Amino acid sequence: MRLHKRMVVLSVFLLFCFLLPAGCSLSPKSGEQPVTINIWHVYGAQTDSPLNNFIQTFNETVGKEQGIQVEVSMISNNKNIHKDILAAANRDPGASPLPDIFLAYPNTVMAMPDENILVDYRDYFTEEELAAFLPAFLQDGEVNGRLVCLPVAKSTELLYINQTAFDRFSAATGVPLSQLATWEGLYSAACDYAAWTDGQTPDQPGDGKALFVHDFHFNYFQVGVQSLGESFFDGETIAFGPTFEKVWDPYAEACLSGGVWLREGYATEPLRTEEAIVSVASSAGILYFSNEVIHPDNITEQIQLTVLPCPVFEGGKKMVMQRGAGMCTVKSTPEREKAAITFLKWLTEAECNTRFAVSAGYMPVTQEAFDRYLPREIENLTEQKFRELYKAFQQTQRDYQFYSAPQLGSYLETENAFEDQIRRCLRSQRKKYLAFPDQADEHLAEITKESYGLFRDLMER
Amino acid sequence: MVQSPWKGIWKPLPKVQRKSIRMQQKLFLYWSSMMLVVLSIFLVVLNMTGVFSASDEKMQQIVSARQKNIIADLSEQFGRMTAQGIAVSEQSSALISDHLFTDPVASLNDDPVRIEKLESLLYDYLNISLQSAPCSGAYLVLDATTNSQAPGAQFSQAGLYIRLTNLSSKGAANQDVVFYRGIPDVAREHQLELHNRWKLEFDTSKLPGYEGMFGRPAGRLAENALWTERLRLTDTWENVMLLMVPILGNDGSVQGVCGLELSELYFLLSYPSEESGFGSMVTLLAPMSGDTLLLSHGMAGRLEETYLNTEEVLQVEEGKYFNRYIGSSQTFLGVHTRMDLRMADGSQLYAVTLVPEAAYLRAASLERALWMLGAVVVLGILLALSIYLSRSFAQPISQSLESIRNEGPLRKGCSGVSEIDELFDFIQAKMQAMGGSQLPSTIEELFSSLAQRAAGLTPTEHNILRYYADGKGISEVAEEACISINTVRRHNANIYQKLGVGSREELLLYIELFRRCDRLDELL
Repeated sequence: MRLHKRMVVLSVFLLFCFLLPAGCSLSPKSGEQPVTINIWHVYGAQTDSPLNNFIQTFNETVGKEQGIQVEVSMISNNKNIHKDILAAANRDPGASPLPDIFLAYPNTVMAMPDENILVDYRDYFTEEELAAFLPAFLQDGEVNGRLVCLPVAKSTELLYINQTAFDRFSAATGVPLSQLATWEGLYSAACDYAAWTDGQTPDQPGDGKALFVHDFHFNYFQVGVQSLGESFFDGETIAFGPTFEKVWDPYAEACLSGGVWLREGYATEPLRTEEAIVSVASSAGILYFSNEVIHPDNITEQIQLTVLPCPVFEGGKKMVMQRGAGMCTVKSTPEREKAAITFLKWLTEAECNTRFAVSAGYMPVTQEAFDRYLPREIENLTEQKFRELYKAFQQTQRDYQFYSAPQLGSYLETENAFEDQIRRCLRSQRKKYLAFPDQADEHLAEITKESYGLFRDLMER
Repeated sequence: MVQSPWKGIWKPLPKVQRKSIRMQQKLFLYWSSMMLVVLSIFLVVLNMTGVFSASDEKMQQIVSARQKNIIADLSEQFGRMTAQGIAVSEQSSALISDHLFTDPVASLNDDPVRIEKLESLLYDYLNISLQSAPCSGAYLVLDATTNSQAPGAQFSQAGLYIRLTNLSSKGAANQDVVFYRGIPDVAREHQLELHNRWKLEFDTSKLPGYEGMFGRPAGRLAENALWTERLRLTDTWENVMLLMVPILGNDGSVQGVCGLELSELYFLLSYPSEESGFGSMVTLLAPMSGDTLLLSHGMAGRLEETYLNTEEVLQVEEGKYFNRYIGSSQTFLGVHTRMDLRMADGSQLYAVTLVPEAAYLRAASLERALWMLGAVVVLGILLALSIYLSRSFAQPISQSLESIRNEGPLRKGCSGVSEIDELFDFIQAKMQAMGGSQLPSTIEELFSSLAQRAAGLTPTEHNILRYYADGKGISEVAEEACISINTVRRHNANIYQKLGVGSREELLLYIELFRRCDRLDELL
C-alpha cells in the first residue's frame, strides 16, 4: 500500500513537471493573435472615410492593447447594405456572410428573417452606460423591445445651395435666398429657374435646368404631411388625404416645369455638374458636396456652398427628418461579440464620438458629447462648408421638431416603390406637358392633378 | 542434547529479515522496468519516423502548399485581366478606326460632341470587360481633351472610367457600377450614377507611367501591358493598381491608354485568410526593396488575427524552412515568390504568404505539450498496469501464507501458480499429520510424564528445581537456600528419583527443553 501511494505521488509530480511548461504556452489568446472583426458602414462611401481613420486609430491603440482588430469589408450606402444584409441573413446563393457589425436602420432589422441573430445591447451595456445616450436616440434603435441598433451618430436634412450660381440667378430674376425658407417659395423659385435657364438658349426650347434636387422625395412627403398636422401613414399604407395633395401640388408643378431634378441618384451628382444648384440632403452629405462645379467644357468653377435649415410649409410646423442609422452586432462567439462591443463603446465615448460625428457631418449621441465637446469641436472647424453645416445644424436643433420614421415591416419596400414611381410618373408626365404647344398655367394645373391621380393609383395598386 | 528441528522455525533469521523485499514490490519493479523499456522503444521509433521533429517542416509544407495555390490564383487573375485589357485595347482601336477613319484621336480636341459620341460607343466594350474580368474597374483614356484652353489642359484627357461600387464579395452578380470619369450624359444614357468624386476628364499627371506609354517602342500589346504600383484614387479612401495597355491607331501610334483596375478592397475580398494548424495564413502582393517588403506599395488580402498594417514595411530574414518578416508590431513567418508581372516602374512584385510567428510558436509548443502529455498518460497507465498485475499475482500467495500462519483452511489452487499451490498443499498435509500439535507425540508424552512427576516434588525440591532452572550451581543453591551442600545433594537424589532422570546434566537438559518449548511453567 505504501508503495502504491508513493507511485501515485511520483506520477502526479512527473505529470506536473511535464505539463507546467506546456501549460504556460497554452494560455488564453494573448495580444499576439488578435480577434479580427469586420464591419460594413456608410461613412464616407466613395470619398475619404472618416470612420476608416477612426478604425485605424482604434486598431493602433485600444485594439492592440486588447487584442482586437477591426477590418472594413464594405463601405456603401444604406440601401445597398440593406440589400446585402437581407441576402446574407436569408443565405441567398452568392451572398456574403454577415459581417460582425453593420450599419442599418431598424426597418432593415425588421425585414430580417430572424432579428434574434443580433445582440441586444442591454446585455452588454450597463444602465449607467445607456443613460449617457440621448433617450430618443436609444428609442429609435429598439425593435420589439430589444435594443439592436446602437446609435453612433445622428443626422438630419439640410438645404444646400450653390451660392455662386444662385447669386447669378437671383441677380437676374430678383428671387431672394430667403424665398427658399418655405417649400412654396422654393418650388416657385424652381419654376422661375427652369424658365430662366431655358430662356438662355432660345434655339433649344425645353432645355431649362432644374433648380432643386431632393435626395429622398419620400421623406419630403412624410415630413411635409406630418408638419401640416396629418398622419402620412394609415397603418402600413400611405394615407392619400387632402394634406398629401397640398404637399403634392407645388412639388409636382415644379417637377413638371422642369425645375426639379427627377433622375435617380443622390443630390451631389447634379450639383457637381451644375445641373441643379439647390438640394435637400442629409447633413452627412457634406462629405460628398464639392467646392467646385465642372462644366461641360471642362472648366472647373470654384463655388461657395451655403447650408441652411430645411424649408417648411407656410403655416406648418418646423419639422425635419431625424436620420442616422445604428450599429447592429451579429451574435457569434463570446470573443467576437466582446470585441465588437469594445469597439462600439470606444466609438460612442463622448469625446471620441464628438470628433467622429463632426468629421462626418453628424451629431454625437450622448448628452455629455453635446454639452462638453461639441461646442469646442465646432469652434475648431476650419473648412468653410463644415462651419456652414454646423451653423445650420445647430439652428435646426434649436428651432425644429425632429421626426423619426415609424418602424413598419413594409417601410423600406414602400419607400423604394415611392421613390421609383414618383420620378417615373413625373418624368413621363413632363413629357406630356412639354408636348403642349404652349405650356400654359391651366395645362400645368391639369397635368399636376392628373399626375397625382396617376401616382396614387400606382402606389395603391 | 538433541536440538529440536522446530526450534525457531517460524521466525525468520534477523539477518535475512533486513535484506529481503516483498514479492509484490519485486514483481512491480520487474513489470515497470519491462513497460518502460517498451515505452522507450516506442518513443525512439516515433522520433526516428519524424513524428516529433517536424513542426518546422510541417509548417513549411503547409505554407508552401498555400503559396503555390496563391501564385496560381494570382497568375490566373492577373493573366485574365491582362488578356481582357489587351482585348479592350484591340476593340477600342478597331472602333476608333471605324469612327474616325484615318483621323487621329487628337482630332477630337475641343469637340465635346464627337468625344461624347465616341465615349458612348466605347462604353459597351468597357462594361463587358468590367463584368467579365476579375477586376474592380475598367477605363480608357483618349489622347484628346474637351477644351484645350482650359486650365491644366496639358494633363487633362478625355476618356471613360467605370468602377464597381458597394463591393461586399468578389464575383457577386449585379454589382453596382459608378461613373468615375467621362461625360455625364454617357453615364445617364446607361443609367449610371456619377461617382462622388467624379471629374469630366483624367488628370494624366496622376497616372504613373501614362506618358511613358507614348514613348515605348512599338511591339506586341502583351509586351506593352504594364501595371502601376498601388496608388490612391484621388479624393477617395481607395487604393488601386491599374493595368495600362496602349490603344494603337492604324499607323501603330499610341492613341490612348486603356486597362483594368484592381482595387485593394477587391483584392481583400479575393484573398481571404486561411486557418492553418499554425495560425492564420494571410496573402500579400507587394514589391521589395533590398530585403524589405513594402506593404505600402502593395495589396493585402484579409488580415484576420494579425496586427499587420498595410502601410508598414517588413524586414525579411531568410531561413532554412521559411523566412522571418519583422514588422513594427508583429513578426511573421512565411515565404515570398516573385511574380511575373510587368510593372510600369520596373519594380518586381512578390506574392507573400505569412503566418504570425507567435501563433506558430504557440501551435508548435502545444503540439509538443500534447505529445508529452500523451507520453505521461501512457506512462501512468503502464505503471498502474504494473501495480495491478503484480498485486494480482502476489495477493493470493500472501493471503495463503497468512492463512497458514493463522492455521486457517486453504482453498485448493488459491495462489494461481501450480508450484506454489503444491507447496501449500504439502505444508497443509504436514500440519494435519501433526494433529494440530506442534511437537511429535513421543516428545509430547515425555513432557506430560515429567510434568506429572514434577507435581509430586516437595516444596523444597520445587525450590531447588527453580534454582537449577535459573542456572544456579550446587554451591549457589546451598547458599541461596541456606542449607549445606550435603543437604542439597540429598534433595538432588530425591529429585532425580521422582523425575526418573539419571543425572544433574539430564535434569538440566529437560529443563532447557521445557524452556525452549515455552512450557517451563508446567515443570516448575
